Amino acid sequence: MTLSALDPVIHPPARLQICALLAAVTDAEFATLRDAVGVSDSVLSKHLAALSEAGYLRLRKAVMSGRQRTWASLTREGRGAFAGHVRALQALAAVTETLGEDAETADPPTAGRQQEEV
Amino acid sequence: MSTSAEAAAALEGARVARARLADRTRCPPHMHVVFGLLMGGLVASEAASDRGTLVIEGIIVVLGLALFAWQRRRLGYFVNGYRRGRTRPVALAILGVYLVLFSTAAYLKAFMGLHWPALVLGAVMFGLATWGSAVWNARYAAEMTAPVEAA
Repeated sequence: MTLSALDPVIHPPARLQICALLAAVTDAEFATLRDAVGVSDSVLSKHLAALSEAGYLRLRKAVMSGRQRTWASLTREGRGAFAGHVRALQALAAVTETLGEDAETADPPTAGRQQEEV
Repeated sequence: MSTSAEAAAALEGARVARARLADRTRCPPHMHVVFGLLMGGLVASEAASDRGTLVIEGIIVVLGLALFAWQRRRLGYFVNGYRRGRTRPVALAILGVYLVLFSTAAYLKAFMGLHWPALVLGAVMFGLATWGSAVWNARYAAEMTAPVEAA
């Protein structure tokens, strides 16, 4: 696993959170995403636009209770990219735990080589 | 991503965002009962005449769609019951039980002229669907608060 496995489009924390939410549902409304991620309307709009431009997200307008609302869902490509990104993060995070355990038992150069391989 | 600690922090941030949504995912008990009534009603409808069965089933389907639309508006998101994950076996089990009970009720009515078994089977379906709905919801809520997985 290398750093290149991390997806630069999903990399920003807010976008990762948006993808994590949408991966768990079929689709979600704009306000629901905004409240769960904890960002402003404009910030969420920018992140949704970036994900949409990358082909990871599908946006749909729907009128509900007389008001137009935006619904977002992950595309198949988006779900794949999110899964790959999460796997890369998990591998990276696991190195921390391994290094933490090794630091107590192994000499520092060994730990350094392991970090370079990530 | 400069450190491994940041990777862990990013995953934790995603988990926390999901956990916020999880607060909305827990259905009140009466929603499970309503789901059970709809599923049980579909099976029990076989107790009526053929024409009556169609009318009852039509009404239940319309009520079900209205319920899902209302839930979708209220929650601000929609979840496919057959989504991947620990909830899928529960959804498939409910579907399987429904198909068996409905087919049995339809068979007994069509070939043996027995209408009353559909009411008994409908009651069984009501109980199992209500319980299944609660199990599905509990599993989904657990997934939403668990560490984010790649699948």
